[in-house]
Amino acid sequence: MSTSSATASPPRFAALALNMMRAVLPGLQVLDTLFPTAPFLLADTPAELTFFASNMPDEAAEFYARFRQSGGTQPILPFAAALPGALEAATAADQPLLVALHTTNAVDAAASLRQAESLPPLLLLAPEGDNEALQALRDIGYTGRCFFRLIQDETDEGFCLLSAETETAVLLRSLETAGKTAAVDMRFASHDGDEPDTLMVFLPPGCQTWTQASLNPFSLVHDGTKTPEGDRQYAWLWFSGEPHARILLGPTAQRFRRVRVIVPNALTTQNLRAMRLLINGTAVQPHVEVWSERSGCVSAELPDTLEAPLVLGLWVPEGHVPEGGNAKLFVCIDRIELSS
Amino acid sequence: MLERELAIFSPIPPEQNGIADYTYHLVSALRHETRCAVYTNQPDGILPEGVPIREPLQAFRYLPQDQPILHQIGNNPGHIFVLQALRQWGGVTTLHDQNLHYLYEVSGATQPMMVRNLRATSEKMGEVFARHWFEEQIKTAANYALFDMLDEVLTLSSAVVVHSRFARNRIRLLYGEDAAARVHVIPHLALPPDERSEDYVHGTLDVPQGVPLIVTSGFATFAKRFDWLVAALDRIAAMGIDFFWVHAGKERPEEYDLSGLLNQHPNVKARSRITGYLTEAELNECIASCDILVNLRFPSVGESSGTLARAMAAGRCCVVNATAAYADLPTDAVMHIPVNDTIPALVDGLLALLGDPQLRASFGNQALSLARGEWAPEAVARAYVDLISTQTSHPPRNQPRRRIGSHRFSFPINSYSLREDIKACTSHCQGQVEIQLLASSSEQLAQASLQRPLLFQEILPNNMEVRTVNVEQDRSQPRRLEDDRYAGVALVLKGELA
Repeated sequence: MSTSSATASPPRFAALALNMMRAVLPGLQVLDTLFPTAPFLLADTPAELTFFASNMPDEAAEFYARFRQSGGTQPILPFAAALPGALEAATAADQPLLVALHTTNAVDAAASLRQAESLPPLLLLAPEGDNEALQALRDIGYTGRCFFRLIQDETDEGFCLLSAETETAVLLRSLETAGKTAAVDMRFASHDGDEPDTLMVFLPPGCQTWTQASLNPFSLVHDGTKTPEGDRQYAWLWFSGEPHARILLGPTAQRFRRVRVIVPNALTTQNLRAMRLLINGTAVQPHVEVWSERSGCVSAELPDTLEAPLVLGLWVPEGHVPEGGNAKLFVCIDRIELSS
Repeated sequence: MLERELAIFSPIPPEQNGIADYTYHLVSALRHETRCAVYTNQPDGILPEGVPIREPLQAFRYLPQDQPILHQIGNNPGHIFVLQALRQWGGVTTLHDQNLHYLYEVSGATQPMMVRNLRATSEKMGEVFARHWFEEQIKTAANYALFDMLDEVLTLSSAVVVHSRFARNRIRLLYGEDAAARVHVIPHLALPPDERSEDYVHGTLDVPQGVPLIVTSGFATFAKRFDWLVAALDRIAAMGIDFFWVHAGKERPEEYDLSGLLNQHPNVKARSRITGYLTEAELNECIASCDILVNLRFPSVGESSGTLARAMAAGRCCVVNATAAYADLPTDAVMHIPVNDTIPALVDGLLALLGDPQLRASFGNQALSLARGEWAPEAVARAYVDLISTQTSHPPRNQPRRRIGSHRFSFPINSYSLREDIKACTSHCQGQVEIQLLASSSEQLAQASLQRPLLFQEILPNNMEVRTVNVEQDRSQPRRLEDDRYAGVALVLKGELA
């Protein structure tokens, strides 16, 4: 993943914030309740996604329930069901656990947290949080809080970091240290009182944001029935069963201009040429580069205005049941590239 | 012009069905009247430039509450997603077939839904046929003829478009004035003919020049009455009258053996061709080249024919049966053949037309005039926009799923009239239902279950789908059972009445 130039966009800020916290808190586990918006998808180590459908219409909840995370190897559990396992795993590994919340689900999430045997040590509330959300979380024990705000040009994004156990000021200082390694300007400020509790992180233009991203099959959130093959160095993923598969790219692609799907095997050249991409369910005529009889690259421009979360659809007309197999295979991909 | 984008759920070309073609041409005209998008399962579909193709699964991203929606629905598996979208989003529906029995079967509709649709056609007959079908596994062709399965579609649609007064009247007679009040007649659009090249007909098909050409089209089915046509043509051939017949369409031998029929009539076979599936251009050429287009149909359930509209728009002389929607057509624009004693009438009619080019031209000119008027794509598109713009209030989204908790009944489990009591209470109910079967103790409940192993099958109405079964302590007011004991536990069945 490159980290140079281009205008920042809030979702990429979110991933940047997560990377900074991971630098400060080694081994940090993150449970993300913001699915399907999932702003951390492009973080160096993506968060574990949990489903929090209470603020979603039925039709949307049904659609997003199709997806699985980590390349399709893991389900996306409801928050209340995912929380105990995450707490247990973090405790067993002696690693900190952070739960990312949104102001719209914070009050409901507080009710789930109240039921938990122990509280996750850290919460990240995005955006910064309204008073009702903050009060609900304070009521269950999150008394420590600090803010940090990432600013670049006219764009900024604020987060509130809440702690049940630790002194948050220490964490802010640590974040400042982590941020300084990225050579950005940082200043402490007061959020709403006298005490400095906000870390303002100023990102100069052309710094700390991405112009391109390359997604490995193991990091994909998709609704295909198969899981990636290979290893973390090189992996590939077959889509099977249905001619249409969907990959959730979250909000992270909003400022990207182009998406490319690398296809090592489309079964036939004809299939590759007939492939269609769908951006948020709308079909686009892709540009197809044929590299060999079965391989190539399918790409498309992303629209200027794009509603989050971005869902990329792949459609190929013909499938094939391999000898000895029982599922019809349609297309194999090994990488998705996003670029400005 | 509609304020919001019109969302159309429909199959589109290259899917090989007439409704897909209809939607393509409708959208071609509609896009000049309003913004529209088509929701379909064919990302490689063909649409006029600038009209987006969207997948139905993500329709929720684009459809706010007051979005105008139009469904194109027909009686085949290609419309399952349209039926699902109607259930989810409501909207205006164009009913291309007056019978959706096959669609409901292949869509995997629940038994309660099927029973509801059967009973809506005829309460008593529907109940009897439902019992035969679901309890005795007896189903015959009569089911398809008697029950059109339209009730759910008529209920969910804010307005229904049909292509003939016959179709509207049929719905009025079966479903009443309230249902008919929401049914509107918009004629099938008639497309202007393409350039006539005659390469396909006289080249590829090797149809002889100068011989009157008779054309039929579409999938060969029994209802298109090729038996009548072949018998009539056989007699005409025996008279030494010259003609050539092309069936511009595909055979479905498992459904109707057209080739076998021709083998029995060698005189007709020698003057005929069956083309198999045609491209749109080839079909257009066949239609535009013909002297007489024959479009017989019996029995008809009110369907309309895109080919007929196309032939009339090409100014062709058309022959139809005087039945159902075809009887609506002006008698000077098509030749009507009665459905009784048809073959002699068909022989007489065809002889008159084959021998008189001016008579053919007269029918053709009247047909053309009709096609250029209210059947023209622009006129049809305006009619749709006018209708849809008046649909100010769509039914609430997810209406079927939100009929919650509206019915709750309690019955003593040991009642001798349990089945009748439940039926009496639920026969006019729809939506979610909770039935409590009360017992004095869990022992009595267990005993009742053991005595009647098929309890649910015996007592529950066949339009009820049971979702959950629980045994609960009866928390209601003390209620005296028939054996003078008080209820202590309840077998609680929750489900949905279709």
